[in-house]
Amino acid sequence: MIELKGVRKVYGKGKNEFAVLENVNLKIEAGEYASIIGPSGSGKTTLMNILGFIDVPSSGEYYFEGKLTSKLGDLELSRIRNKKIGFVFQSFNLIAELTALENVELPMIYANISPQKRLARARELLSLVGLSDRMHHKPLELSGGQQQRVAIARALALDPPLLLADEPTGNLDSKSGREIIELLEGLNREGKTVVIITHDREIAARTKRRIEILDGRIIRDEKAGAEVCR
Amino acid sequence: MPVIAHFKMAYRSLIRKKLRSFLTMLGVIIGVASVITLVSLAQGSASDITENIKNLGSNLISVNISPRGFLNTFTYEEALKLKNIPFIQKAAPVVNTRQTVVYLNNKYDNVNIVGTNGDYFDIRNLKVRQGRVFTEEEVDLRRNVAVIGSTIAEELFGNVNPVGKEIRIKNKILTVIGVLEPKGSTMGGSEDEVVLLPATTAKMLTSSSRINQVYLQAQSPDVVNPAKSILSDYLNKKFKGDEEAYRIFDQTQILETVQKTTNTLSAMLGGIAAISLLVGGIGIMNIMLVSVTERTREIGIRKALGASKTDILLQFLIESVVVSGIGGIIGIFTGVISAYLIKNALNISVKFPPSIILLSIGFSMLVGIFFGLYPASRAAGMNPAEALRYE
Repeated sequence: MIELKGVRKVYGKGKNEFAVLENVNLKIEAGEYASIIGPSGSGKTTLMNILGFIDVPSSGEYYFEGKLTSKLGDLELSRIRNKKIGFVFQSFNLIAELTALENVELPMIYANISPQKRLARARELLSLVGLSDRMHHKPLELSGGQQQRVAIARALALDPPLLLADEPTGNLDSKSGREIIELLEGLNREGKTVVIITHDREIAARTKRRIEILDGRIIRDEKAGAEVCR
Repeated sequence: MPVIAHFKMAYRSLIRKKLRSFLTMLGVIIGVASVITLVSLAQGSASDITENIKNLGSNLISVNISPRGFLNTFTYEEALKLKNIPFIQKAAPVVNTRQTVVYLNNKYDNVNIVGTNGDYFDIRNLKVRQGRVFTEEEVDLRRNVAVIGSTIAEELFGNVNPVGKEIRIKNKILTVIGVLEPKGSTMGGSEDEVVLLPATTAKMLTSSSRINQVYLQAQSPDVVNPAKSILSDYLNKKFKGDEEAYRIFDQTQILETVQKTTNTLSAMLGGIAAISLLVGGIGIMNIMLVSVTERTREIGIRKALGASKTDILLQFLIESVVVSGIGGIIGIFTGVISAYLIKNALNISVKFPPSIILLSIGFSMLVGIFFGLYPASRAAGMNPAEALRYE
């Protein structure tokens, strides 16, 4: 489904140049359930941003569904972000002024979906994540776990094949964290490719593939049972 | 993303910060209101002046004779001959003097005494309120009759009907035969503070027999210009090539001059007011920049969810255009209201040309686009990864 070849990401210029990612090669197949683990500052969020087209690699190639993406323009990239990828962030990233329902509708507005369909879909998704009684609440009126469930509903709005979750449980207590992970696992069982960034070994242990990253390099990549490389 | 959704979004984020939106709008409101007020006042007084000039008379050509030298003397009889010039249908020679007019114990100083003939009333559109105008015969026979302006009538006679009463100018006793309808003031001073006599009678009040001015009426507006050129040839011969000796004016010429002046005036006033609109625009830009910075994270979220650069650009641009557009509309109402208040307070005319209203809406929208473009493109150009990191 996605493949990175020799991806490098540097920040700064000239003497201040600093490589966050160095020669990253990674292939994730459709339907996988993978975790990316590593200490903070190891480059995992940057990797996730590149995977989600929120950031662009300084060099190297990124194939998305078999297509090289480095030549794509802003409009095509925003369409991929819109329809192919669902994001779940550590800090939820809901828009504070909008209700839960409106937050879930947002990606569908950018996809030009009619207001009636938008509303119906947003209601359906919020019931799916168990928030049918919280639809008109604003994010600050919801608990962390509830906010993250809104964010998951939002990520699912356009039924994207790939879900990227950047420390989705980082700001949650263990109970709601477990619920979120179970929700993501359920989605994976339904066929979505799920990639989770975490530094929680327990969560990583539940995934079917663990990609370990240190100082911008992948140092280990193992599938449940067998080690894939190195 | 459909434009309707952009407008809804802009509306919501403006409602969210009501005070800030209003204060931002205020700059545009004041700008547009001052453009509307100043231009409508300028246009109002311009149309007043134009109206006054038109009141001078229709198809009017006026010849002014310079009071210089023996050669330039122009007698009443000579002036009357101008009537025989092609396209000219009426001629009214004018002898001017300023005198004190007395009725019983009442005096009115420095009154404009106009000696002329019956044609004068037709050419200048003067009508009598009471009595009648003087006849050709009375002019020929040098009768001591007078038609007085309405102000003179009120000042000297009060509630008494002046017709048939006798007034005195210098040592001449004149019988009032008519009172003019009030006409208001024109460029030549008040038309109501005037006493009209037969030219022959008036000549006896002045030391010289020269004519200061001749009013002519062309047969139609179309022949004013040919009549003028024939007239100018004729007078050229008469004054032996001395072009300084006389000047010919017609209404359109005066109108053009006045209109040019008033247009310059309204453009200048409008321009000054437009500067305040510009300042309002800078206010919009300022607030939009603040708002873009404040909403950096929101922009990052929207981009991550699939908003393209164009979507973000439009979001902020439409927000700024909505601010300036609503500001413009409120400004128009404010401007119209304040123009009417000034009109009532100062008793002057106002006129709202539709062009200025459309122009100020258009201009304020343009201000919104122009000053919104930079903040909006800054928002659109943000790197989503960095925007999401913004606290």
